Amino acid sequence: MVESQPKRRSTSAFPKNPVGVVGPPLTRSAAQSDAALRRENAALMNRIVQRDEAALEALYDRYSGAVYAIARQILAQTADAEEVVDDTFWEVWRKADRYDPTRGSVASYLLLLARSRAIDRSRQVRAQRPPNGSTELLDDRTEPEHREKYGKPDADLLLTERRAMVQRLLAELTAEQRQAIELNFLKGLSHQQVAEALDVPLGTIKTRIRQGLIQLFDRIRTNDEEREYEL
Amino acid sequence: MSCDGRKEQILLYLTDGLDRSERDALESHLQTGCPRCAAQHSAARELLGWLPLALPPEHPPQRVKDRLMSRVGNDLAAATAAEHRADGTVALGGSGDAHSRRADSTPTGSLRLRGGRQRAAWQRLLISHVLPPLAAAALAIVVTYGLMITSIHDSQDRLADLEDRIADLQDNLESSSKEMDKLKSYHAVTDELLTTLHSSALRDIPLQRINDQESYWARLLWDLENDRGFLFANDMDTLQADAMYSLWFTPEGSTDPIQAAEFTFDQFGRARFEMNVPDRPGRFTHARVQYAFGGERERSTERERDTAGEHEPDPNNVDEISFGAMGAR
Repeated sequence: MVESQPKRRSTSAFPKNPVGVVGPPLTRSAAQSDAALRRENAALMNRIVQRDEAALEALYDRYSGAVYAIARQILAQTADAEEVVDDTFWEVWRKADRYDPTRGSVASYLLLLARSRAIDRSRQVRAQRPPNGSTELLDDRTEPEHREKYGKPDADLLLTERRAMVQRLLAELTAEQRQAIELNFLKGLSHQQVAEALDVPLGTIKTRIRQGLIQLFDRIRTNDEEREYEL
Repeated sequence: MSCDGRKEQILLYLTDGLDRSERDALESHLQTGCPRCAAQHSAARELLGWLPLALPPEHPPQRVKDRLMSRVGNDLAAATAAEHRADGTVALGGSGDAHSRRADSTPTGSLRLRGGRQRAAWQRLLISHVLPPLAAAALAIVVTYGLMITSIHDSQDRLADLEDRIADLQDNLESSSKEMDKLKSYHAVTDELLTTLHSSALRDIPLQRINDQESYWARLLWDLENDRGFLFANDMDTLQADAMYSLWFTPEGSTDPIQAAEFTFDQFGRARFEMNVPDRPGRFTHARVQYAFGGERERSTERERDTAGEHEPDPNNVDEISFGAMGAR
């Protein structure tokens, strides 16, 4: 059942005014930038297969911020999150030859790997705090001093554009859909845990997540005449 | 279920939203290689891979990067060391890194590295760890050698300068010695003059140039008590310091002059000499200083002789440089 709620402004902890969220659809130049980013990442991966440590370092400089962010969403301890960053890029170094470009871009491979490592880590250390119903993703991490210390803008403009696009897409979801996706995918909670945290039936959570993802999926894979971007 | 309906199922699958049976069924289908579902699976993974970008970036501490790159460096070094083993089969100690402590860390065991990757790793190690120090050492040697050569040249130049300065100082010392000698001579003559001036029998005889150049004069001081004479002349432009002059007296009642002395002038126009007048005249009518021989006059005379041949100029031509005094005291 589709939830026909009017779109309203997000109440989650996603940045209220992320770059590029409120505005016209991405232009072709943004799509071109996205393609350039893919090419660069693919080239880096090839070099890593050739045991080029400089390429790994470049990939680290580009995505360590995102990897660390997702790890900190899932793990309570910063030390564990740091371990996830280390392990993620170490696995990229060791198993770069196993990366299959047909299964997704380097960025998605890397971030999904980071999420997987973070979930594995959380299960090991059992240090994740039970969800308290807060819809704020960065509850204790939005403290000014922490953000000032670790929060830095992307040094990579191509990544900034990709980030802006993602934020815009999420902002177009309903608040419930976005919240459910955040808790499930970005916080690493299972569907059951999300349902318990929000005190909502499991089926409802699954529906929210499914419909939100489908909307994102279709938005990305749109075949509109003016194609905005494509995977 | 048709592939059309699997899109949602794939999305839920990727977010752990399927139960066990649903998950198994989907995995089985994906394993059949269904291209459409495979494409949907890839697209869904890509979408989910983007979602973390919605989070504001948080950059980890520098130590995380340092630790990672250190592990990578150790891994490269371990791979290079393994390549040098004779059989080409290597036993890699897992990650080659002491920091690894995870149960699911990279498994240990024996690996057979392919030759191409071995060479590539060895080449990279050579480039990254061997060549830079060698290049730096070579550069240091070249620079040092260049500096040494430059220093040697500078030292040689400075040595040459010092030698020139020493030569100049020696010349100055020699000149100073000559000046000192002159001063000594001057003072010696001055001392003698003072003694003569204190004589009780001193005669002061002014002399004039024969050719009546009033600007040129000489003065004769005759110490009769000690038979010593001093002659002062101001015409050193004409008088020659290295020429011999003579002093003549013509006694009263005689027409033959008597040579009283021979002397030279110093650079100050002074001459001192012993008076040699055996028969001291009571009175004399003339006193004359005239050129005798030597000096540039003689040299020029010789040159003229050489050029003129038989003609010999009169060395007694004293008109230009002689002094004379009329009358006696």
